[in-house]
Amino acid sequence: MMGRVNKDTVGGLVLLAVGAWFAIYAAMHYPLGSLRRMGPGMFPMGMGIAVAGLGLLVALQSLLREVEKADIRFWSPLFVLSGIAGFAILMPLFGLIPALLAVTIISSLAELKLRPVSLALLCLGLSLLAPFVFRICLGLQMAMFNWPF
Amino acid sequence: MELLNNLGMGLGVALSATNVFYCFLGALLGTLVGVIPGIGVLTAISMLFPLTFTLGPTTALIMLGGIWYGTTYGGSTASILLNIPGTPANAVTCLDGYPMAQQGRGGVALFMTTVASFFGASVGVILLMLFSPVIAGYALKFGSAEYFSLMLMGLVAASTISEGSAVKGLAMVALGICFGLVGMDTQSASARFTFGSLGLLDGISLIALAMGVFGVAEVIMSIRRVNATAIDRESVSLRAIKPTRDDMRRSWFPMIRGASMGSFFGTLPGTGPSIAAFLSYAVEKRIAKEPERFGKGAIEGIMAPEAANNAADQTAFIPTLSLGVPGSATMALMLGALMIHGIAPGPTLITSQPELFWGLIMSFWVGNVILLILNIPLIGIWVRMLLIPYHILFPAVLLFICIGAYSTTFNALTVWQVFFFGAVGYAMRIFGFPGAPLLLGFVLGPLMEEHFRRAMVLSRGSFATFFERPVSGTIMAITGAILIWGVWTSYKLSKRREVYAQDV
Amino acid sequence: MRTIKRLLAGAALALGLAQSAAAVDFPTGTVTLVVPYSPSGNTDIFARHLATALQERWGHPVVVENKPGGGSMVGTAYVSQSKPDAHTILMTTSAYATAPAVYKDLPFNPETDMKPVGIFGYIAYILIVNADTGIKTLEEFVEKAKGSDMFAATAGLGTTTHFGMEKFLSDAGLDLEVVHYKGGGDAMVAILSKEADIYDTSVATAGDQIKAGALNALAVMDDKRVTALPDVPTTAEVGYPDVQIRQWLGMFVPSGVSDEVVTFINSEVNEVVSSQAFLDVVAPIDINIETSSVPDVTARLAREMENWKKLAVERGISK
Repeated sequence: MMGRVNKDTVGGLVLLAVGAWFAIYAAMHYPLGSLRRMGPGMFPMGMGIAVAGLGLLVALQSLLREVEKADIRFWSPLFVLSGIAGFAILMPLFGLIPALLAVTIISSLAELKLRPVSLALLCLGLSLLAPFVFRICLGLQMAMFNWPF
Repeated sequence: MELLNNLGMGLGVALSATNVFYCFLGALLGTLVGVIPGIGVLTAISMLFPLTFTLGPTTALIMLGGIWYGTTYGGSTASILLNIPGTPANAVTCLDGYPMAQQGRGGVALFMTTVASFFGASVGVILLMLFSPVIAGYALKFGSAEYFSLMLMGLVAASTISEGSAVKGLAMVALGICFGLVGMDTQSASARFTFGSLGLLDGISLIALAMGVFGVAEVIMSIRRVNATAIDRESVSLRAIKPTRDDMRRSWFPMIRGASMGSFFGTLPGTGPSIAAFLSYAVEKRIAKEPERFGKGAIEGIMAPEAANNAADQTAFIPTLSLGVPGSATMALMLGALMIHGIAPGPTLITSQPELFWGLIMSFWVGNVILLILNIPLIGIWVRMLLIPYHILFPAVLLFICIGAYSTTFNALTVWQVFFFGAVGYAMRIFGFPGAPLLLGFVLGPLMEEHFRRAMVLSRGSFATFFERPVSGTIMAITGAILIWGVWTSYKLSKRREVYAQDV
Repeated sequence: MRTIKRLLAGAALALGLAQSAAAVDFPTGTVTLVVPYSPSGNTDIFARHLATALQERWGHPVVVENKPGGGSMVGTAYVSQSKPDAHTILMTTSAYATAPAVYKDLPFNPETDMKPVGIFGYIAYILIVNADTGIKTLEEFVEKAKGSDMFAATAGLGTTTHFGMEKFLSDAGLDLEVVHYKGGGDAMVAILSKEADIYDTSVATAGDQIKAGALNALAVMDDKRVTALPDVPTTAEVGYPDVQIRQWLGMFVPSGVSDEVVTFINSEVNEVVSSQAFLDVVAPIDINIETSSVPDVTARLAREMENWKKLAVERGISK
């Protein structure tokens, strides 16, 4: 489906939407002020318009020339981003080790090939390495394990 | 010669066993912090700051300084080998460093960036040594109008920083500026685009943005593509770090230009190594005879920014030490290390605390020599990182990015920002939008807004201020020239293409 | 030093009262002093010295935790939501009192969510101008500034420097254009480069420039002169008795903490900060010590908040 759509057209239109939203949000929520004493809304509005305008330009240009097809993958971003989300959720609740295991195991699935032995070794290695580097070398204060309940 | 006496005294201070030890420790930690993507220098220095209560002020500053410039040294390693910048200041080094590594020239790239770093830092230290007060006075010539003109020039010069359409580059600059505007506005105290989130009051985290757009997106793109066995084993031997004669010839001028630009931006409070690195890359690409080589492993593209960011690291101490004005949050920490010992930084520091001032400066030499000696053998180890299978490497990289982001605020929100910018970065890859201009816009955007608004207040609403003030006017004229030159060269280029097309 | 001694004498009474309070079971574990600013600032340094002294006194660990962000709002909100057992204490500045006057949606209610333990130190502010202007006294400045097109610098809208400046401008009847800089460093550069004409800052940040002859200090914005600059008159001496601003350093706990514990901590900290050993460590960073009882501080805080709100409305700062 995507293959038939020019990727610059889509990218440009996305920017147009993002820029327009940014400009409208700024104009509606923050005072614009005067040129002499600009309010907090003026510059964001201007920049939003710039993004929208440039996005439109990208979209228009794309109609004039051939652009290669977009290469979209589904599993890699899904697993990598889920791994980061896992870290973000577990870290404040359960501490570094559970969060570390989450990001390592979930993101490893992006390979779409399970290597149980190497994954286990990797988890073990990182569980030893991370506390050493971050706690001991850099002295970061973070709990290794935590039980919030 | 008073200067020689001072230098001798400073060297004596810097070479005392304690100070050499802490200098080494700082440089080593800095390298480590730099190599690991995600961990920022501000985090590292904040963590170690309490140490300064027990160390003397000179020793404390020597160590914190070592971390500061050590980070920039180490930061290029991950840029070159993994296409993931170690620190935001090394992001631009990815553009040509990573292609070099892919061509089996990773060792050369690492060696040459170490040389560039040392060269840039040396230029910075020499300026710091000889001209601190003069340069500090010069920096005062930069008012809000000048800052704005300078930032505008930077953006115009940098619009071609990445390959591909200039319109796309500009669109990303503008989008980056938008992201930069999130957070508390100092001139009105209104929280913009924070949606009630306290954590966003201080804006989007630079580390999260850089690591998401460059790091996470790169990992997503590389999974099941990068194959360690494909790397020529020959290219990771220590012998492969030797640059060719051509490399050397091409490196000299970019290094000198990079060091000069870096030194300049370092002295201006508020700008810093990231901006210096980006703009020196932009300059190299602009003046190159064959700009099409850039982005494909041009050695100029790594020498200039690495000389620039290291020079900026050193000259950042000029306003800090001689005006008592910190140019960045990290420099504010350095000043804090002085203040807790009752030393008020300012113009009399050089005369009232000569041992501290000259000792610190001479320690920069010691530290840079340590880094040079430390880094060259390390290249052999880093290059072998490429032999690690990607399925083991990438989860570790993601983990370090997560920990690094988390440690900047100890708030999961920063990790969520990595998540968000990872998604944005991936979308940008899909649609073919470049990341470097986004990062530059993000860094420059808030500065531009702030200075523009203030300049308008100061000129009581007159745009003419940007052209009437001599320094600002000059910068504006140069900006105009760059624009015209850009149009002219692209016109010539299209002409040449036409001729070429007719030949075929 | 003399000012501190005078303060000490005044505090003795309050101390006597506080000490009669019954012994309370505090602390029972690690006490965290939350500093809503980055490491290395005045508040942070003060808190670290205080933590060391309290740890020695209480026999329980006392640690400093930096929770910077949103001009101290992030850390303040964090403590306001913490368990009200007084083991998490906020160590903040007068931003606590100025914040309600400028920020629209504070993430906490400064009047009901937290209560003050005490104000234990302050930093005096001085009005400075570039020495090249030749202006040496506040009187001269006011005369020159009347009807001129000068600029007054602040370290950002809603900061202590901003309120101090507005108060001065209002009392002196001056109509200068106020320019906001991003932080004290940038504002200082603006004065040095003559982009702006007057600025109010702490003694510590301007001291060296004054010594070097680059800046002139016109007046101390307090009722006492400062030891570092003994020749500089106070605002009261030159005819502006109400132009006073102190960046104070105070402690707050969630309002659920019992009054006995608050009184106990107040008397303990009062005692620590008035010791000679403590004075010796904070004197170099130009922090003055002050002590007071809980009811006094509560009343003073309410008064300050009221005044800043009124000033903010008068000068069109807020909303």
